[in-house]
Amino acid sequence: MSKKSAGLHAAPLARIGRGVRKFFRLRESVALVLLVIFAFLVYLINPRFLSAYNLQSLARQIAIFGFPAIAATLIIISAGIDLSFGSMIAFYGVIAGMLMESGFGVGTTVAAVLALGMMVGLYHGSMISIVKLSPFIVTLASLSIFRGIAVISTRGYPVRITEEGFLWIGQEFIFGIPVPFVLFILTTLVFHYLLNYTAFGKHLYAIGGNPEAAHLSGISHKKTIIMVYMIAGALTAFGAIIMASRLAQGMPGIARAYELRIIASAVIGGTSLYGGVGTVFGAVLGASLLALIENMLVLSRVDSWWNDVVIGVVIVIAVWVDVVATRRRLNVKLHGK
Amino acid sequence: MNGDTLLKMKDISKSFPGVRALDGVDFDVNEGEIVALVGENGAGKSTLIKILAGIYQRDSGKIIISGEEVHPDNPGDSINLGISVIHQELNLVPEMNILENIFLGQEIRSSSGLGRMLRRLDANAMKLKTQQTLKRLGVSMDPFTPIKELSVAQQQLVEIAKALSLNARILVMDEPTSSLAEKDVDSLLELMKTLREQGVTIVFITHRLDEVFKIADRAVVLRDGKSVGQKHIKDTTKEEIISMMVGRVLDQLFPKIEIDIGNPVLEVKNLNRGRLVRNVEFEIRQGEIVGLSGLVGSGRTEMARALFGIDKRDSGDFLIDGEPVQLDSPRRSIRAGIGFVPEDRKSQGLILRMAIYQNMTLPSIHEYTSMGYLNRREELKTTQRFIKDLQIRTTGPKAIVHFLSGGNQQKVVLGKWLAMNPKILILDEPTRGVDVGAKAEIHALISRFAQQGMGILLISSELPEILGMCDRVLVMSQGTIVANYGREDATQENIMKKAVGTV
Amino acid sequence: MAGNEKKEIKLLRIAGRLRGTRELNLIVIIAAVSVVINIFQPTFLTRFNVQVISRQLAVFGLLSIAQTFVIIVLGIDLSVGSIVAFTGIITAMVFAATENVVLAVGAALGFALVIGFYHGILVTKVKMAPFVVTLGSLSIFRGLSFVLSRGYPILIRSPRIQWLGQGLIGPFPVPLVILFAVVIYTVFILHFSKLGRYIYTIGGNPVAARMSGVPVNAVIIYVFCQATLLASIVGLIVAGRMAQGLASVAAGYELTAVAGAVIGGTSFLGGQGTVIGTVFGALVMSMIGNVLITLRVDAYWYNLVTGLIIIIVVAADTLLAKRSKRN
Repeated sequence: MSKKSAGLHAAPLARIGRGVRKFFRLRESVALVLLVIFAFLVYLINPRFLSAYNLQSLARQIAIFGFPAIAATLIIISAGIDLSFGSMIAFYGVIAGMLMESGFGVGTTVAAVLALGMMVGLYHGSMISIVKLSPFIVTLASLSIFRGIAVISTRGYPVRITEEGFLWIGQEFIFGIPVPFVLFILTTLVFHYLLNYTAFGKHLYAIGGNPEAAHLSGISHKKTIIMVYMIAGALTAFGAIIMASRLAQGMPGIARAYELRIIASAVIGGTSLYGGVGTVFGAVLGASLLALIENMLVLSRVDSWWNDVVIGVVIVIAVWVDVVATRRRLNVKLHGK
Repeated sequence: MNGDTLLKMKDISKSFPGVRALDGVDFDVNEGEIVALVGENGAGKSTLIKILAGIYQRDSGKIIISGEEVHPDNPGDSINLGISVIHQELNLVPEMNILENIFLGQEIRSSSGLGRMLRRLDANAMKLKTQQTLKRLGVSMDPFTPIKELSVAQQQLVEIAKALSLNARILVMDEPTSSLAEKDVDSLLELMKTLREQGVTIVFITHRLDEVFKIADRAVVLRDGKSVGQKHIKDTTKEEIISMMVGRVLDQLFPKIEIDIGNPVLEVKNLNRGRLVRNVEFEIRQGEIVGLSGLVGSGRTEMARALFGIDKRDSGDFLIDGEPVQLDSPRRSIRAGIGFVPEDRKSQGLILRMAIYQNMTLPSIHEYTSMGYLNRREELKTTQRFIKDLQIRTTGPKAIVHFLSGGNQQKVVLGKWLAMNPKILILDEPTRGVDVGAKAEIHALISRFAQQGMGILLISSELPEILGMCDRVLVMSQGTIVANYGREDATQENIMKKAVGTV
Repeated sequence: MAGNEKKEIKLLRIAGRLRGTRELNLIVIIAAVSVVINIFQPTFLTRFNVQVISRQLAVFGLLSIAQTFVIIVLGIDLSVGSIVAFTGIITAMVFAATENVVLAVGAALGFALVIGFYHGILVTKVKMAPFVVTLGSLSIFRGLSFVLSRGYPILIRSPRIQWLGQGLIGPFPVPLVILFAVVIYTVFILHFSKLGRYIYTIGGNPVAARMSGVPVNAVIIYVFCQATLLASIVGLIVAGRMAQGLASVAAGYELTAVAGAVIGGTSFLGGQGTVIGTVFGALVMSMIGNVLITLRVDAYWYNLVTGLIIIIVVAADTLLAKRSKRN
């Protein structure tokens, strides 16, 4: 049979290839290694790193980056992009504040904001999959539009939030663990399940990896894309709720230029901008790495201006290493070198 | 063996802007038979199949499956009706594994809980079914191997497995053998026979009539979007089918012209790249057409790519007209006077969204440039000349290449290399996917180039083409050249023996 | 003379090519909107206000042209905003240290070329996605600008550098003249030169381009260098206008530049876009703020209006194209 001959001289090479691959199939390994190195460095610089207080604030920060980072990962797996995270976080926060200001309860507010997130996702998804606009443009417009609405509706002033129930979400602890972090871990598990054990997950990877094949297999591009943007909308809305709760206000000017940082955490976590590749675990690693870098600069009392520089360098290095490792692996496989 | 009518497509018509692709086509398939759907490129075969697959919608006509009229509006509908189409370009997701691809869009879910899309997938059931299906095909592959690690032949088996695991009633295969090596073609044909014995109904689209006569029960011929007729294979001949396809009798497919062969124009020495190109040495003389034969995977294309400087090579020395040259990139090779017609014209040969003239002058563009300024008028003039010379059927040099037929696109590729006036022309499968008429024209052109003194390296999987066209035939196997036959010694038998490695 | 005839034919042909195109539609809409606004607020088309708009146009126009070339070769440059700030800081610091205008300007342009080259190398040789490469630079050079200036403005006491941002040549603001020169150069490159053909070819099919002898890597490196170089020219203009280098300047301009290019007809599918279309797109982006001020609309509306214009223009364009294809 044909396949036997194909395996003939490939046999020993394949074995080597598989060993190398096992390590690097974990595209996240780069982020993981960087994470460990950074954590160790921070600890060396300032042993207070391991104090309960610091770990708590680190965990909270991870959660704040983490929700939209998972959203970004899902979208990028579908070969899309979302530039609107920062504006959305401001917009949802302001809306939450205004809803409670006008007398709505915490439950209603949270539900309404999540629903609003899904509506925005529906709009994004429809523009992309039905009108067939580039996701870059659609979400670039939203970046402007929703920041605009947030600023117009508040005339630029923050909306104070005093509802205790709402503040619990972002500020309290469960057994010493910050509530946002607990929620984030739960969310991570749910989305790990969603991506790996459901038809939706498989369809998402297929649409990102080979849209033509997905189409011919009877997968509805429209449904899947709309669904992924709706889910991402809800996730972002939830991130915004935590942020607003943590700050006790909805701020129209908050999270400016956040979108690129969120995308960065997805990319650092091994998600490929070409689509079809990425994991929730990677998003968690990416978000953690960004949170850790901020934490490190605080603890080491280095000028906070360095934050951007370090993040930029980490983005380039993480992806560089990943690209080179992938290529080496392919070379091993194809040419036995 | 042949049962009742399973599928009936009746009076199907379909128009695209400016083209009537199908005009009242009838097409029947009986239970348990292999039907070959044949016709030239542009005859409407693919359109008909795409309507069946739910990719296009018909303008008029009826599709009846098992006596019931159906309306497949999208690929999902068609799959649910029991129609599985294996398209010419394989459609698998490279990053996903065999199992995931087989069940893509048709995942088995555990019965409980949540919405349809969010329900837990039943991994065990899918694994079991995948193993069963692969076994039925007589192959042993790990269901968890990623697609990107499989050969083309293996990927095709995955596509077939996918169709079978969907319990397809009709398996449609669009040019399944066009990208396979000779040996893999045989095993695929065997497999199709086996499937027929198991009761699977197969519709088989191909350019290769040999294959039709090997396995099909019936051939249905389309021409210019119309049904021309159908024949039981037992009652017909190749010549008859060909004349039905082209509407005329083709007298000569390989117009070989005898030419005086001159000095070596290209000498290749010590060419190495990985394990697919090893110690390759050969020469091409002026006016000589050298055929390069071998199985797919023997390293033919890899050798040509390494020679032309597309892929980095481990070593290699080259002489052109006796002078040593550096061929480190396509750009340098072109400067040195080599042209390269690649295997896949759409992805490698053409910029589909650009005009004919923009494609045509690309390799020789410095000739139209002075002080950085690009002389469009000269470009158009040259292009107009080649359109006339190569008989490219189009509205003019500014026509967008995308809208040309396959044969005309291939002529644009040829024209673009001729426009640079090469000393050596490498052609990798120049007639693949080109219809019979255009094929003959391309063969005539190749002969004419040789007559003008060009040295030609012709890579082809079709032995008749190699035997008909070439002055000399090189055979490659496992990355090395294993034989070098003169025109007299080159026979189908000799070449195949060398190619499969049995000395 | 035959020469004159040729010129006339060429002009006619260019006019013919423009008919019904994105460029023409945009300019008609822009003109109509301007005239209508001017009826309500006669201050709009005064010489002073037109100069104000044209200064902004120079900034967005140069960045959008930079972006257009990059997008045509299937890339994106997210770093241009940060490069504007970074080169402003560099100019200010070098001038403060040496009092030498040539050195100060040379340093800005030199740094920009090095950064562009670095982008090009990572994209072509390491084969990283342009989005990631330039996202890294967006962060790095914005950060470095702050680190170098510690967040404070650095004054530039050179009248000649200030002239770049503030001066006039006749009635024309210097930035507009710079834009005009760049437009002439880039129109020639993109539409009338071999390099331009290469650029479109790479956007259309990079594999086929390489196999046809197009020096793909070199062209992509050129395009990225041109992008950062244009960004650094904007950096000089902006620094000259404010008479200082400021780390926070031009934040988010990379996306404004993309919007300008896209409104002007540049497509993310690659291989499509023109310099003139982009300049008109950038003109739309430059006018929004000014129009709102003229009409005494709250500045808060700026973001919303900008976003709506982007989505409406692009959606309308796509839907109209779909319909015309159907007919």
